Amino acid sequence: MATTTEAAPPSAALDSLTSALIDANDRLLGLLALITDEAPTSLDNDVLITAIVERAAPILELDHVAVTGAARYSWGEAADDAPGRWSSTHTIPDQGEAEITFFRRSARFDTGDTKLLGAVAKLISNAVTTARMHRAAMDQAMMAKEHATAARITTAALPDPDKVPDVDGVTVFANLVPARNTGGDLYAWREIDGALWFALGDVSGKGLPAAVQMSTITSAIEAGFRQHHHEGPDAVVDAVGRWVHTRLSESGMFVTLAIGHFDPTNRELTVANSGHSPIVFRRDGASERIDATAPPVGVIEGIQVIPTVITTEPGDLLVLATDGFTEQDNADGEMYGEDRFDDTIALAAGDATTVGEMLLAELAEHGKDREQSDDRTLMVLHFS
Amino acid sequence: MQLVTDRKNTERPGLVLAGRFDAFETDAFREAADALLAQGSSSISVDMSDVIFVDSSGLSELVRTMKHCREAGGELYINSPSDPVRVIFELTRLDAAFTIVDA
Repeated sequence: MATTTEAAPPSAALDSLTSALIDANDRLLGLLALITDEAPTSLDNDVLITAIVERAAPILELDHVAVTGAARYSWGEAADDAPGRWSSTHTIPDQGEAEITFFRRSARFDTGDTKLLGAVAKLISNAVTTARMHRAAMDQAMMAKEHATAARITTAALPDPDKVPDVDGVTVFANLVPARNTGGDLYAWREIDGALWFALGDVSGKGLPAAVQMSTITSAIEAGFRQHHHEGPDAVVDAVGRWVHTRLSESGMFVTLAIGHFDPTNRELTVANSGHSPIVFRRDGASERIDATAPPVGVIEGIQVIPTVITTEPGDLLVLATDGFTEQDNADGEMYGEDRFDDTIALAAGDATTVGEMLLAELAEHGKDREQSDDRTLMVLHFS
Repeated sequence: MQLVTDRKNTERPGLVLAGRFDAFETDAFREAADALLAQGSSSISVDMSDVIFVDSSGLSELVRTMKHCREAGGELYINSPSDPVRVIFELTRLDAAFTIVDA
């Protein structure tokens, strides 16, 4: 049978072989560049992918690269009807699946091309994963920084717990432990003309906004002590309430606030409670709540707080805490609880520091192995 | 938490809350309440009969929504609060600020 194919002239065959070898060499060099070139200094998703695509595009004559799904990216002009089109799907940790598609207008991708495209796609998916892990690490660092800033603001706004006001007839103990995500707890105390003024409260909300508000409200309380100490705790609550209302009326932010006063000359204890809980007064082994007589400050104007007045006797206790104390849960998810708080105080013995440290130790035992989810504050006054 | 928007009563559309209402849930509540206000409702009722726990962040969202309703000339109605919610309202005296409706 006569042959119908003619062998190519030797020179043409050589040309074609040379060009194929040069092509292969270009591809090898391109591939080497992809792997060995210095990585971009940015860890931004788009910068990383572009660095890979711009090295791969000349080797493979790519016109368009698109990433869809868990990550989004596009390079070059859309070429939906191009004859060369090849996709692969990759799993991005915590994000789901991303599909990477390559387009070429000049020709279909052959077997050699697709092997190379597979390697390029893998590089892109690794870059997306790196960028995503970097972002997660950045977010975490920023959050840690925000938490640290909030905790610093809180600490700066509080009185030194070791510098207890020196007032006859009463010992005082205070302890505030901010949660990792600060919860807006506050306390304040001051001796004015031989009498003790004290405050304990909780700004609604969490994090930096709550810490900033907590700090400014602590200043408003201090100002209230100075300006209204000739009146009474209810006047201080009103003053703080007006202050909060003019500044925070747009948001839902409010402050549960108890303001107290103890006058050693007549042993009279006065407590004005706007929306705060728990406050427990203990006498002769029986504890009793001092309930709120008005909603928290900042909620609504015009509801007058009615102060509770008690003539203290030696051995009486007043214990104030925030919900972060009574709502601390244990490993089984059970809260410490207000009833247990009341019962423990009923039987507590010793001065303010002894009672305070006993309560803290009991709570630490209850909440061990659990992260503290909210600020918790405790203030104890022991009368003698 | 579960949150359902009930638009059957167009005068006073409702939000039904269930489970815990704390800092983790306030974004969804705010979004739903703001959507109702943006659609022109000035009054909203919030069913809290199946809420097992509310913390200060949850309360703060209720206060914020109450203020926005009142600014729009309406009211926030809290329907049939469960016992744990009622206890918190009483402890904080927020029962004096909210309009509570019992079924």
